[in-house]
Amino acid sequence: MNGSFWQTAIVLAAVATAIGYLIRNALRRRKAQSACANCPAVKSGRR
Amino acid sequence: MKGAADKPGTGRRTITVAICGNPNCGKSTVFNAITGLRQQVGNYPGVTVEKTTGRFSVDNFDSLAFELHDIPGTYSLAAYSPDEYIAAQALFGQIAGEPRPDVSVCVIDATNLDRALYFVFQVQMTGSAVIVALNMIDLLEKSGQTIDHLELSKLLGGVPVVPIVASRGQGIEQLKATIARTFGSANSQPPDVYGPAMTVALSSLRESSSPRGISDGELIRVLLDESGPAERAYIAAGGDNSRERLLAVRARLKVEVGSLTTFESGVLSKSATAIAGKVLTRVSIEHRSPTDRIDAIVLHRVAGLFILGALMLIMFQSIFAWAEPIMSLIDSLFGAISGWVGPMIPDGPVRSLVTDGIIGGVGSVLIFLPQIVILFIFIAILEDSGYMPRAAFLVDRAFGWCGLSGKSLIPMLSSFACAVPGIMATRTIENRRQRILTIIVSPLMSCSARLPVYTIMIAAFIPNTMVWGFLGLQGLVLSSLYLLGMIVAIVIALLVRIFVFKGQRGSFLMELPSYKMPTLSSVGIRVFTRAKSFVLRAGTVIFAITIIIWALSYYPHSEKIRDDFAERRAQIQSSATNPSNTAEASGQLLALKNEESGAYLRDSYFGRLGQFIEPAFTPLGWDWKVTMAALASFPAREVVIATLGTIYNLGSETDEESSGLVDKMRAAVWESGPQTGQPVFTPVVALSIMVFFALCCQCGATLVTIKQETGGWGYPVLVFVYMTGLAYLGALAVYQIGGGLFS
Repeated sequence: MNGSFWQTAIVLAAVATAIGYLIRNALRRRKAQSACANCPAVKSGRR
Repeated sequence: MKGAADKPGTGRRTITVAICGNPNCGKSTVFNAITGLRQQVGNYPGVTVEKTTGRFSVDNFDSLAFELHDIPGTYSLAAYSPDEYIAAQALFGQIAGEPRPDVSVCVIDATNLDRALYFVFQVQMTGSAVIVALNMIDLLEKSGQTIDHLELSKLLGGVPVVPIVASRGQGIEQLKATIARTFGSANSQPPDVYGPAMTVALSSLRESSSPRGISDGELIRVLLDESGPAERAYIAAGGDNSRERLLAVRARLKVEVGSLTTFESGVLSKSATAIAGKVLTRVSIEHRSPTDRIDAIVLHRVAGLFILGALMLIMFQSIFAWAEPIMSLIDSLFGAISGWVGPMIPDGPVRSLVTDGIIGGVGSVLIFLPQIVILFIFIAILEDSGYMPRAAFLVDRAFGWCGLSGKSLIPMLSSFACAVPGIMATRTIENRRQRILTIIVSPLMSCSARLPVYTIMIAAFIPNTMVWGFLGLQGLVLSSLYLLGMIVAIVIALLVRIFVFKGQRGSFLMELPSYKMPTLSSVGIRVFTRAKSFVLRAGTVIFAITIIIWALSYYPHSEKIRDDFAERRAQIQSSATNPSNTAEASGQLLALKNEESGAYLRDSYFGRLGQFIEPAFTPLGWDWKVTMAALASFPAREVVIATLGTIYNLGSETDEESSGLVDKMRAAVWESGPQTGQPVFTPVVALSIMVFFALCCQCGATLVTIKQETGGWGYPVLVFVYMTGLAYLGALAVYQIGGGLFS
C-alpha cells in the first residue's frame, strides 16, 4: 500500500460522494413541492 | 369539520384560529407577534402554497391551547388565482386534513379601510367567529385620521374590533384575550350587504337540498363564481340534479341583479364605503400625508423615472465601490489557506483536489459574498420602505403595452433577487395567459447568481474609468446588463402577445402602501438568511459539482506527459552548471511547469471534450475553457466561476504576483487556431460572455419551479430552448459586431 493508492482512494471517495449528493439532491427536488431549497435568495424572512 | 379538539395527553382543547387579510396588511407581522418562534412552515396538501402554523396560549384560559394558521393574503374570496382558492378553502374548512377555523382573525390595514372591509364582509359569511384586528393605526393617525373602532364593531354586526400596531407589538395581548373570549360566544350577525335578492336565492338553494352544514358564505361563492371551484365542488357533492337547480336559481338572481361579478363588487364596495365614511374622522387640518408629499415627486412622470434610474445606478456603483476591500480580504484569506494547506498534503491528486478544486473553485464563488450582501441590503431597503410598488407603477405603461398584467411587475422585480420566488409570486395573477407570459419572461431578469459572473468579467476587462466625470464605467456596464434583461423580457412578451396570445392588454390595480422606515432587524434578518443560503449553496451543490469538474479536468493525468516533461526538466537542470545560467534555468523551469500543467489539462477528459466542442463557440470569441465553464454551469450559473477557478488553477502554476482568478484570466492566451498566443479575454469577449449569461436559462431550480407552476414540462422546455438560443445569438452578435468595430 503506497501513498499513491491512498490518494486515489480518497479522490474516488470524494467524487463518488459528490455524485451521490447531487443525485440525492435532484431526486429530493423532484419530490419537493417547492424548488426553493437550493436557491440563494428565496428565504426572504417574510411572505 | 369541527376545529376544536382535545390536545392528546394534555386535556386541553385546541382552538383553531385562522389569520387572514389582504396582501401587505401586516398579517405575517401579527402572526409573528402572537406566536413568536413557536411556528412551523410547510405546504398545504397537494399544492405549492406555503402554510405556516404556530401555537400560543392566553393568560387565564389555561384549559385552551390555540393553534394559529396563517392564510395566504387575498383581496377577495372569489377564487380565481391559486392563492385565493387556497385562502377561501382554508376559511371554509374545505381542505382535507385541515380543521375548519373556530375563530377567524381578519387583519386589516387601517389606512386602506374601504378595500379591507370588502374582504371582511366575505369572511363574515364563512360561518366562523370573526375578529377584526385593525392594524397600522399609528400610520393612520400620522396621516391625520382616526377610526372609531367601537362604532365599526357595531356597524359590522358586533364583530370585536381590536386596534393594534403589530410592528411594535401594541394591542397583541388584547387581541389574544379577545380570541380566547370570542371562542364559544355567539357568532356576530353579519350585516346584510348582499340584499334581499341574495337572501331569496340562498333560501331557494337551501330548500332544494344543498349539502348539509354548508354556510351562507360557501353558497354565495357557489352562486356568484360561475364555473369556479366552489361550483364544481357543490355539483360534485350534490349530484346531477344539483347543477340544474343551481343554474335555475342563478338565472333568477341574474334577472334581479344583472351581472353577478358587478353585483358583488358593487354591493360590497358600496357598503364598505358607507361604513368607512361613518367611522373615519379627519382630526388634523393637514391634507397631505408625508406619503402623499413624497409620492408627488417619486411618482412624477419625469422626476420619478429619473429618481428610479439614479437609485439603480447608485446601487450598482455601490456594489463595486463598497465590496472591493472585503473581497480583497477574502481573496487573500483563501490564498493564505491554500498556501498553508497545500504543503501539508503530499504532492499528488489529493493536494490538487484540495488546492485547485475545492479552494480554487468554491473559494472563487465565496469571494462574491460581499457583493451579494450589498445587493440584498439595497433590495431589502427598497422593499421595506414601500418603494418597490412605486417602481412597478413607474414602468407599468411599458409592461401593460406588451400584454403583461400590472400584477406581473412584482414577480418580475422579485426575479432580480431570484427567479424561483418570482415565478411562485405569479400565483396572484388570475388570467392564465398573463400568468404564463410572466413566467416565461421572469427568468430574463438578472438574478443575484448572475452578479458574480458580471462582476468578475467587469473587474477584469472593463476599465475603471469615469464617464461624464461622475459615473463609473464599470457600474454603468453592470446597470446596462440588468436593463438588457428587462428590455429583452418586454420584447419577448410583446412578440408572444402579438403572435401567440392574441389578447387585450392587462389592467393595472396595485396598492401603494405608505412609506415606512425600514428597521435594522428586518433588513438584517433578510440579508442574513439570503447570505446564509448563498454560502450554503456554495458549500453544498457548487462544492459537489466542483469536485466532479476537478476530477474531469485532472484525469487521466497521463504518465507519458509526466515522463516527457521529467526528461526536459532534467536537461535544463543539467545545463545549469554555473551561477550565471542558474537564474536563467529557474525561469525556464517555471515556464516548463506551466507548460506541463497546460498539457495535462488539454489531455484531461474535460479538455478533450472542450476542444471537441470549441469550434461551435469560437464564433462567440470563446476558447475551449470558457466554453466548458459555460456548459458546466447549466445546472447552476455560479458554477462558471468555480469551473474557471479550477481550470485556471490546474492549467498554470500559481506565483505570488498572479494568484487571483482575475490575473489568470487576463494572462490567458489561445492555445491553438489562428489566434494562438493572443489573449483569450478582451473587453468584447467579456461582453459576449456577460450577454450570454444575462440571457441564458442556467438554473435547474427555475426550470423545476416552472414545471410545478404550469403543471407540465412543456413550458420549462420552451423557456430553456428560447433563452439558450437567445443567449447564443446575443453573444454571437456582440462578438461579431463588437469585434468588427474595435478591431
